[in-house]
Amino acid sequence: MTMFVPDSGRLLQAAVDYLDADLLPALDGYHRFHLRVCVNALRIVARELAQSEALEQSEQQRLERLLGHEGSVADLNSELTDRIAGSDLPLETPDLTEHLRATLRDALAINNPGWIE
Amino acid sequence: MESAREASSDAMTTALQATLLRCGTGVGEVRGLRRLTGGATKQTWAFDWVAGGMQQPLILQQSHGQGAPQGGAPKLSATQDAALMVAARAGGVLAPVVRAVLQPQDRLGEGYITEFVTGETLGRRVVRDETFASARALMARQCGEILAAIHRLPTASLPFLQRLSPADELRVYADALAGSGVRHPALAYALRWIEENLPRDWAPVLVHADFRTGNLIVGLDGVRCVLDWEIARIGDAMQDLGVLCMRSWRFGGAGEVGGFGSREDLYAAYEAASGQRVDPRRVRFWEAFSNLKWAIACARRGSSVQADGRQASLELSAVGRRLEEPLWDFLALTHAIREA
Repeated sequence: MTMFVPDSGRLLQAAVDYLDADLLPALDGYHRFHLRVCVNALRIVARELAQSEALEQSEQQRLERLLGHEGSVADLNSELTDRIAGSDLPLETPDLTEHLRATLRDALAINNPGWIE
Repeated sequence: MESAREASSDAMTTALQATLLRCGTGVGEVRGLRRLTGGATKQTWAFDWVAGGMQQPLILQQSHGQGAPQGGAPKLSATQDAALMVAARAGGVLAPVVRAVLQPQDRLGEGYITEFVTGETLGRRVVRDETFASARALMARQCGEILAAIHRLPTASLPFLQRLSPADELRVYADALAGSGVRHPALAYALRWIEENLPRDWAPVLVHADFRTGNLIVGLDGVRCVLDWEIARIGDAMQDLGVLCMRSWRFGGAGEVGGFGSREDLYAAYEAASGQRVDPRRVRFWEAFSNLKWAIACARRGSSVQADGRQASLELSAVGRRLEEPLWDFLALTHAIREA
């Protein structure tokens, strides 16, 4: 794989900074509102590019501990969802809410870091 | 692109003029048609109706969908929505004044025209701007009184309203989530928690179900108008109090009620105006359930596609990434309920 300079994160950063700092002040009304949404969406993507790999690793470790076997994050999440929905796993299961909270906290660090007080 | 938009705007102006003429408003002219910001699922336009030397600001609301099929989550058609607002107004509730309901021959789609009400709807401004500081001090009590008035409204002339028990609500929203195809352990957890904590008692009344900051027009004197009636239903009265307290609709403002007021003020005003006791535990249950509903709405918007299979609009797609906010709050709430 070619090592691009700048890499995707920095290229994206430059593009978002232009939209936010230069274009946004020139707009009003409908387009200003939607450009704000657009800038926010691109900042989410930038944080995801930078953080998702590390966050997915810790999610996988927690899931493997909780379910007692190895697997991909997608498979383990699917199994956890089925076992909660099927009443196979009581809501009071030790570490269950702690796992859900940790996973939500990590997702919020990407999607909306300001949400956690 | 710009000229195409102007052309369609001209066509809309002409169509609006014909619509208002049909509704017996007399001869006049539509001026200054402009699209307003906001509304991920519908379009709102403002314009002036100029007739007999008078100028009156009006609002055109175009909804996208039809009413929901029976058995799904409540979603009134524009005609039903307008009938409900007329009934609410007749019952002394500050709903928008309906001037016209769009008909097929108007060629403007589904929707209605209402009178414009001066004030602020943007949540962040309502809960933060210094301008509204004195209004905020009044609003929790006003909301208690308005909700009591909504819950008193007779429903016999509104047969289209669905009647949903707490268990019905769970079934309807679980089905909506299943239809989206989104699977998530925290969503599964929230559904199970709601199922295990369904209230046995409930008081069936007309509930607005989306009564919250952002859907209220606020002036210096507080709440001036209650908007967005399209998911109203017959359900548990405590539901409306729970929705109003959701953190998502506090917009960062202080005060557990809507980002502007206290539960004590809301509950006291509701009890005084309705003669009914507030059940704080049930309010918390509905606050949790409302977080789950908002999470399901985020999942549905984030997974929605256009007719040709492309990803839905930017605004809808971005809401999909708000999924974790209400789920985080759901876990905080259920933790607090368990500890209480």
